[in-house]
Amino acid sequence: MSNGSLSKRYARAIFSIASENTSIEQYNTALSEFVEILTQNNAELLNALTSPAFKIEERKQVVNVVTKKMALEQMLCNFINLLIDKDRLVLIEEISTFFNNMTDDHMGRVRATVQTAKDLSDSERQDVAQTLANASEVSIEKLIVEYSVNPDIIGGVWARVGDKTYDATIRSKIRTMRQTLLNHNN
Amino acid sequence: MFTQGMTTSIRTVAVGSILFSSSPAFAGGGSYMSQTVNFLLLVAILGFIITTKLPPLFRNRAESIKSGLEQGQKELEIAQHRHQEISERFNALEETIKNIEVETAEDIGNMKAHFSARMEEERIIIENNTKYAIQDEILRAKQELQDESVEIAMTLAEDLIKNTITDEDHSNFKQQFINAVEKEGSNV
Repeated sequence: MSNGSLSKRYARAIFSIASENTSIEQYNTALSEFVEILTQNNAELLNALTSPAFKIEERKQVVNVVTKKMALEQMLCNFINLLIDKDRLVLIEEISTFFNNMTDDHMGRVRATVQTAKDLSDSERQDVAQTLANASEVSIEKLIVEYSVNPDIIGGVWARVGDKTYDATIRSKIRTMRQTLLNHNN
Repeated sequence: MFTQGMTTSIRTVAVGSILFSSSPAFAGGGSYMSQTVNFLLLVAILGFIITTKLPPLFRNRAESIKSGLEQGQKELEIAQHRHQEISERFNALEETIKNIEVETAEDIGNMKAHFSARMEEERIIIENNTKYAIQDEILRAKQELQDESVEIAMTLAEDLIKNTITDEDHSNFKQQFINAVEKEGSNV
C-alpha cells in the first residue's frame, strides 16, 4: 500500500471520529497547528521523532510535552501516539492535508491560492475573491483565499481554485509568445 | 688400338734392320747381291706385316669408328628428340606466358574498370552525404540562431516590462484578470 492511500485511510479514520464528536473544525485546526510545529518550525523535531535512534517511549514523551502545551484533544493525542507506535509519524503532514481537504469538503469550503507580482489592497483582494467565488460557483464566505506575492510573474494574477488554474500573468503571456515564435521558427 | 699395332710393326722392322745391319755381310760392306737379298727380306717382312697385322687392325678400327658413329647417331637422335621436346615445352610455355599476359591485361583492365566504378559510386555517396550534412548544419545553425534571437528578444521584453511596469499597470492587469475570469471562466 502506498503512503498516499495509507495517509488517506488514517485521515478518514480521524475524520470519522471527529464527525461523531461534531468537532471536525477544531480537530482540523489542532492537527494543522501540530503539523506546523513539527514541520515548519521544528523540522529537526520531526526528524528526531521519526528516527529509529530514539525509542518509541522517548518519542512519545517528547510528543506529549508538545501536545500538553498545545492543549490538544485527548483523541488527537491518542491518534499521534498510535502513529508513533506504528512508526508512521512521518505521514502526519500528508494525513493533515487529507484531513484538511475532507474538512473543507464537509464544510462546503473551497480553497484558493492567488499570486500577484505586487501585493493587492483589501478592496482588490475582495474583487478577486468575489470573481473566483462566482467562477467556482461558491459563496464568498466558503472561499478561503491565500494570497502571496511572487515578483517572478512580473504582472497580472495567477490563481488556483480547487483543481482549476487561472493564469493571466505577464510571465505566462511571454512564455506563450516565446513558444509561438519558436514553433513558428520550427 | 691402331696406334698400338703400328708401334709393334715399326718396332719389328727396326729390330730386323738392326739385326741385318749387324750381320757379318753388312759389316763388310757387302755386295750388290747381298744388299738385294736384304732388301727383299725387308720387303718380305713388310709385306708379311702389311698383309697379316694391318687388316685386322684396320677392321677393328673401322668397326670402332662405325660403332662410334652409330653411338653418335643414337645420341644425336636422342639429343634431337630431347631438343624437340624442350622446344615443344618452350613453345607451350611461351604460349602459356602469352595467355597469362593476355589474361592479366584483361584482369587489370577489369579491375581498373571495377575500381573506377566503385570510386565513382563512393564519390557520389560522399558528395551526397556531405551535401546533406551541410544542409543539416545550415538548418540547425539557422534554427539555433532563430531560437537564440527569440530568447534574446523575449528576455529583453521581459526586462523592459519589469523595469517599466507601474502600479497602474498592475491595477489594470488585475482588472483584466477579473474581466477574463468573468468572461471565460477557467480558460484564462
